[in-house]
Amino acid sequence: MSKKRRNTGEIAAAFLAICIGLTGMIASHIWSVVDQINAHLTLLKIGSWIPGWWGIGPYAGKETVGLVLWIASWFVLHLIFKRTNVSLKGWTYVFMVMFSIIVIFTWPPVYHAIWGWLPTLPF
Amino acid sequence: MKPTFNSRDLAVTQACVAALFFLMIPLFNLMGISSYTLSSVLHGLGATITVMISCYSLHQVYPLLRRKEGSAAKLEFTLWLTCVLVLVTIIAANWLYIGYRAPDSGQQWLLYHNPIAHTVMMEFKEFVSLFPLPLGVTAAWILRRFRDQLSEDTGIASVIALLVTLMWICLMIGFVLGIGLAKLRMV
Repeated sequence: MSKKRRNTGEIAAAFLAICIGLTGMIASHIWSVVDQINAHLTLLKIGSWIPGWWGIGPYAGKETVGLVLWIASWFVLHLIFKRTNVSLKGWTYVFMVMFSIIVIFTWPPVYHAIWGWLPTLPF
Repeated sequence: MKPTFNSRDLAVTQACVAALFFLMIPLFNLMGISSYTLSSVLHGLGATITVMISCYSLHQVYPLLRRKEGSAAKLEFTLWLTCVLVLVTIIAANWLYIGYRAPDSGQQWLLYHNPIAHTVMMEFKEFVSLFPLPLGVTAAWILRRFRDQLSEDTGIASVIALLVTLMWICLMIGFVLGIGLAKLRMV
């Protein structure tokens, strides 16, 4: 069987898709901290395909945003990058930096320090 | 003379006993007075099995980095299994989250007695616990797509190692914070 050669652009596309999905999810969460009323209305609507969304709340919408952005951006970026070769080492470091930034912005004291702790309704 | 027990016997015994006892931890929910016993047991069991299998997948990265024959296929199988378990545990977590947010349940109790437990610990945990799904799926997918190039390009094995390690770290964060919160107040 002949060996199939893949271009490393596919890996860069997969890295970027993870970061886009996670960034979208955390951004939607931060939006619900900043502008709770509007964000919750939209996020509840987006998450209403998940069984039990009425009890899960806006979190169902945040999960959906992350899932859809991850899958959709992976599909598009894969088609764009699959014919190119990239520096794997460089992209590995870029991914590490991007992932670290996402984790830092997932830590509540960080985004609350920037966008405030109020309103205090828990979601 | 051949020893009575070899190192493999000890390792297998330890793994089996550890698995058995760790799996018993979430079963303590059955003794509680919760209205959400089934979802909490399922989420706890799912999380425990997932963390154990993910530890195993991290160990399978070592032979991959040493370019051992057949290591990629074994790791890929374990990774897909981990991803399925992560998804099942997330589904159980969503179900349990309904109970957590219910009136007079975990969220309200924590906010009243120690708000940090919800506003920092739970808020962090509920998102970081989702990260392993894209990380694991991507690692397994790269292993499948680049199987034939693993021996030529060491960068690919490093990418797999990074993704699996991040997946395991995120799972551990979710697992430890989850057990910690359940110690404070069962849903």
